[in-house]
Amino acid sequence: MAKILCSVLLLLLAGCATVQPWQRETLARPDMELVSDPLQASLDDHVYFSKEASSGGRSFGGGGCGCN
Amino acid sequence: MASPCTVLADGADDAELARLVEIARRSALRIEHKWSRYRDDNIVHRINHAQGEAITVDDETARLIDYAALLWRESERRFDITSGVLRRAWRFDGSDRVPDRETVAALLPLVGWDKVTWRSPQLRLAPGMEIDFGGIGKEYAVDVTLRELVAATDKPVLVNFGGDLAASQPPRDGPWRVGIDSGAPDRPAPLIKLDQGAIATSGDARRFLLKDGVRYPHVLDPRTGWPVMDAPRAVTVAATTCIEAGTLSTLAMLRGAEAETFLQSRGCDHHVVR
Amino acid sequence: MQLKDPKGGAIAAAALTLLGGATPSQAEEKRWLFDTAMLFYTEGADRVYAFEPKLAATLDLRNGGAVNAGFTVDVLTGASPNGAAPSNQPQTFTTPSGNSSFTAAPGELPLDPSFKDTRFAGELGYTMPFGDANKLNVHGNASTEYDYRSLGGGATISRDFNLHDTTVSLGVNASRDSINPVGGAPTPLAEKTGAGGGPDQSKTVLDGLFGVTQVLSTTSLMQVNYSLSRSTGYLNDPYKVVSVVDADGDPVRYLFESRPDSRLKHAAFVQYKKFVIDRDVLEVSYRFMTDDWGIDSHTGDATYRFNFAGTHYLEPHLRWYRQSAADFYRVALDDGEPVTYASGDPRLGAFDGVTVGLKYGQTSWGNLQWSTRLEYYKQIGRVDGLPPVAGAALDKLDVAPDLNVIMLTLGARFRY
Repeated sequence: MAKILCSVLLLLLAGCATVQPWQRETLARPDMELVSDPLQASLDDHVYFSKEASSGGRSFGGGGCGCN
Repeated sequence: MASPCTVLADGADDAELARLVEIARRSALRIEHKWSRYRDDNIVHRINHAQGEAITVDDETARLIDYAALLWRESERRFDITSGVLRRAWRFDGSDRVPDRETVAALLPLVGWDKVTWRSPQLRLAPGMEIDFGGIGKEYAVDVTLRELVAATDKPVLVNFGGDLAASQPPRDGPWRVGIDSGAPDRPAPLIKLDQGAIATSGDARRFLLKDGVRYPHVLDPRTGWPVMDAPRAVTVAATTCIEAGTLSTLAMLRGAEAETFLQSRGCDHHVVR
Repeated sequence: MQLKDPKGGAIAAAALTLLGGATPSQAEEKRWLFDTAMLFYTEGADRVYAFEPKLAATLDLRNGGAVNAGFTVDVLTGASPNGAAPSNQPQTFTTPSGNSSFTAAPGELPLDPSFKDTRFAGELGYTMPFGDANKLNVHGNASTEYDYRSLGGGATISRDFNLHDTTVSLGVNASRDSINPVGGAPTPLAEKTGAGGGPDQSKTVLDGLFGVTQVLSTTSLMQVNYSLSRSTGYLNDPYKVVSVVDADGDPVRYLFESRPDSRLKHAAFVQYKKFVIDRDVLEVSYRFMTDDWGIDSHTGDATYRFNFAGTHYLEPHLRWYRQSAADFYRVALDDGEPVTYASGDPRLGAFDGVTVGLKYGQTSWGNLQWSTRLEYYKQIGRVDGLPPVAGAALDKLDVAPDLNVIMLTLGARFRY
């Protein structure tokens, strides 16, 4: 697990040049947000938390309901 | 304009965008042709080569001259559209060729709005004097272009002429996000969220002289003929119109060390880089 | 030094005179964002139906921070597995309340139809910036349903580097749940003869999340997260049982399930987003989870958004999921087999899941954005947890059944 994480982090740092603030036009698009539809993501998280044994990853582990 | 010009329209398809860009292009070129001091076929050329004769100007130029006159009074003579002749002594090319006192002093009799006779629509300059609209022309172009675009579309638009920009209304999903170049990679780059209104920047990032470790900014005080030595590197101001924003940022630069105090007393959103 | 015109009125007025004529229409600053969504969920005939509307409001504050509030209602009805294994004989069970009973036909997975539940949940959050590069978010949430209550809160700090191209964040969350099962909490591994009859229970969950978001180019970015979650307390499902079977696989009795009283989960998550062909957006993500119950899971997700004319989009979606069974997952127990922990809950079993979906969204003028998404989720069971003696007999039955889910979501969002 630690090895996967470290190699991903190294890839991260290796693969990027600094993007200047005035070059962020595309990144500022709403469909380029990491979570472009938070309510949809929240509904999905709840469904999969209820039907599977895993949760979280993108954000906190969810829960707060008697469904698992 | 000597800088990249951009038009942003939220929700416009390619055809409409092309149409809006064409409107902006024609508007920018019209103003550029009309008031550029590098041309020999416009009103500015005629004024600057009138040899002491009175020139009758058109209504738009008259309004711009009225505005420049008000700024001269408001800024206690620091903002002066006749200060362009000082260019003959000062060439801000990053070198160390600072002019000597005599050269600059010789030009001072040709500088000063008080030496101009302005009775709208007639303008008379003393021989050898020149006017230069460079300090306000670009911001005026932004405002006028935005108005033409607003008349041509109902989509939110933003016009950006090399960092002087204005927006009509915010896009569907939130305010326009405008970043300010802080000039150094390790310095934070602030973000302004603009719904509508304008932002203008005055700066000296690339135009200065450096001699004996002393930096001479390209902001000249027309009363002395010498640079405002403690001028900030850049001043960014937000206001309702680009003309107003550009005026405030220029006046702040001319205030040198008091730039921040000046802007705070005006109550406008601003950012000063030193 | 004397400043002329301290309020700048003369310049502002003069600028307008210069421009000649009326100012462009003043748009009001829109600092509110309202977001709503509704989920319609069905597992098919006789199984669970759910309806879940959600509402969220966010207010942008003048200091660069934000306040947000959300409210959710979750209405659930229908039948879900009670943990017992299918059998060649019909099986009858009493419901958790003890007031009624239900039967499962031979070969059928036993489903308890007595669940009708309405859950209400609310959350509040406040984000404040510190300087140009730091942010602190604090949030709290609470939910209640007839047999379960939860209260929690947490905080996340984040800091930007490299002209906001890199963001590092660290968050913690804690919650405490009260479980008051219908009929009382049962004693784990006790024989089910009626209702559970025990006292109320509680559970505590502590979460930590560390994440790095990195802009990779003018058109792409990625996020890597590592999260930890520790639950302690009552982790059993009070309504589920495990079948105890004889050598032929016929049920002898049913025991209430028993899970350990602690669980530690680790998850690593990677997400990549790229703007392609100057118009569309591609998103892929992968999550690996492992815990001390022996469950490992992999989740792969991909969406591709086709943007049309800048005003509407079509977004296909694919999700793949694979889960291994918990160490103590049992289809059924052999009679007389020693056991510490056991659960027949299919959610702890081994299965794969595939989701395919399509989303369509549009932005209308007047700032309203709406969308609709239809998805099909299929769980494909894998056989695991067969008891040593009765395994062969049970394997002839469908002990790892599939699940078919259809979900429809409608969403709308506007600024005010």
